[in-house]
Amino acid sequence: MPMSDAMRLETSRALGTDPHGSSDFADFPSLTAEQEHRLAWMLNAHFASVWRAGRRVGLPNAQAEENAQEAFAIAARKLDRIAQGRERAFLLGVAVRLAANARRRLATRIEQVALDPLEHEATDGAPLAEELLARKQQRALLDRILQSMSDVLREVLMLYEIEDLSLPEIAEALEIPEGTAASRLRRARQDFSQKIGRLSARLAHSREEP
Amino acid sequence: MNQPQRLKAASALGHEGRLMASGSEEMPNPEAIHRAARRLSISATVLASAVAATAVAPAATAATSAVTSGGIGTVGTAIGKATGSLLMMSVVKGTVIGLSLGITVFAGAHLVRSNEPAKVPNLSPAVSIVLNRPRPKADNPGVASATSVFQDAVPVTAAARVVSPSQDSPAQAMVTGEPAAPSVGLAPAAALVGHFEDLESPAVLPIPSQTSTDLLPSQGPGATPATATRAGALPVDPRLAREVASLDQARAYAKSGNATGALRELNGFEASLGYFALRKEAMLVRIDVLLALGRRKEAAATARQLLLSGAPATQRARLQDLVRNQP
Repeated sequence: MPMSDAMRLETSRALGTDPHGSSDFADFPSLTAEQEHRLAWMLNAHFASVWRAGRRVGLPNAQAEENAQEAFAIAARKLDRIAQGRERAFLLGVAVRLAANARRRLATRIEQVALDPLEHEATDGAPLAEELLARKQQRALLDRILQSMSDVLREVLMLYEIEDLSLPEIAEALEIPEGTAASRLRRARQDFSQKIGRLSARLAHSREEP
Repeated sequence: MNQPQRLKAASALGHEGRLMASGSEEMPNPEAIHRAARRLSISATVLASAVAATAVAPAATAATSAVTSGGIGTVGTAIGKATGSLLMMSVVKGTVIGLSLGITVFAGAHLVRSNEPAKVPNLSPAVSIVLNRPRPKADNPGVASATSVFQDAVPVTAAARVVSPSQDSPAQAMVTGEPAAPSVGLAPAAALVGHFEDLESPAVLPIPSQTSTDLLPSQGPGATPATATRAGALPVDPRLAREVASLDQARAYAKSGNATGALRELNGFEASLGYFALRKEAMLVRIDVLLALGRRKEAAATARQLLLSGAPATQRARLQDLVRNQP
């Protein structure tokens, strides 16, 4: 089987060779032991958050993982410039930008799960299955609403409400003034609330119809 | 700047809050983090030490967020979650303190026997600091004694740093609610599994005090009495202990010039059980052994395999040289 360009690049990167067969290929930095430890800690502490940033934008599971890896790769290259204690904000800032780009580039189809819980009631009646299903449907609904929002509002809402960043941290991560972050959060909440209201009304209407 | 209350933190969780909470709950596949680590060339051992260093952080975060949200039920849940981690930390603290006291008593007895100034080779830096510290002379022996005890307790030793409330420690994380920042080379798991470089020196692996033969340290040529005195520190996964023992044995063979024996040890262990945590370290040992045997081509092939699976950053340049200069 012929090796794809991506595989060739990956192999060359690991082996420290030029993918085109000439000299050294040093795209990824060699980490010192201390940097490796720091990166490992960041990975362990923040991977889930960074991965979720991709998921909430609508990336499929594998793409969200790729997105998170890319965010950490960027962090590895800029490790010396990331202040202690600011790792999470940095990573999430990078991750949301990467995810938004990936979504636009790939024109990802969003996983559509039916919004009406009655349509997907668990057949075996097991509480756990029902609970899991309810959570999955809630997440699907959340994603659907988030993805209908503009990038700037969604990013702030997601970082504040889902990933629990503070407004100063969001401002730093997105490189915007704190006042702008606060104002976007206010607008994002209004938008989110309106969308939920509209969706609920539509669902109620569709249930009434035979 | 005022931080508006988060939707999911509202005392009466509304529909919007539940949606947000559902978004926070989604977690990636646990394997994803290992895949990312491999891609970033972070060795499994370093990742394992990072996991251990942040082990208490989730409990702290849960407790903090529950307290700030003000929900009694949530606090109860968080306390429940935190209890396990706190219990674990207490056990670790107790073990470390016990170990330190034990070593100190042992060293004291050694001093009395030898009637020499405090000089204890092969003990941890912690003990060296304690035993080599010059005792202050004072007119009042009581005061001198008290001062000495206090001063001896002050130095942050390798063992104490693991549990000391420094900015980087898990204990601080309990206060701030932030995950513990990395403390290079100080985390218990780092000492447990270590780097390949760490394994080059005599074993620094605390071995549990259980009498199970599964948990015994290496009994090979490299095993020393000092290794045995380090018993009783932290619980070790039996598989990890076997891997460490096997690698110790292989390295001891290699150091004594018995490269064939080393290779046999590596092959034997891999064939019977396989390595699960120290695979990369085993590959590094294998490369050195193969080089010692003059089997450069096989060493280069192993190096290539290791590079493709994510070699430790500190070894990458050497391995790349080996691959490029293969016969």
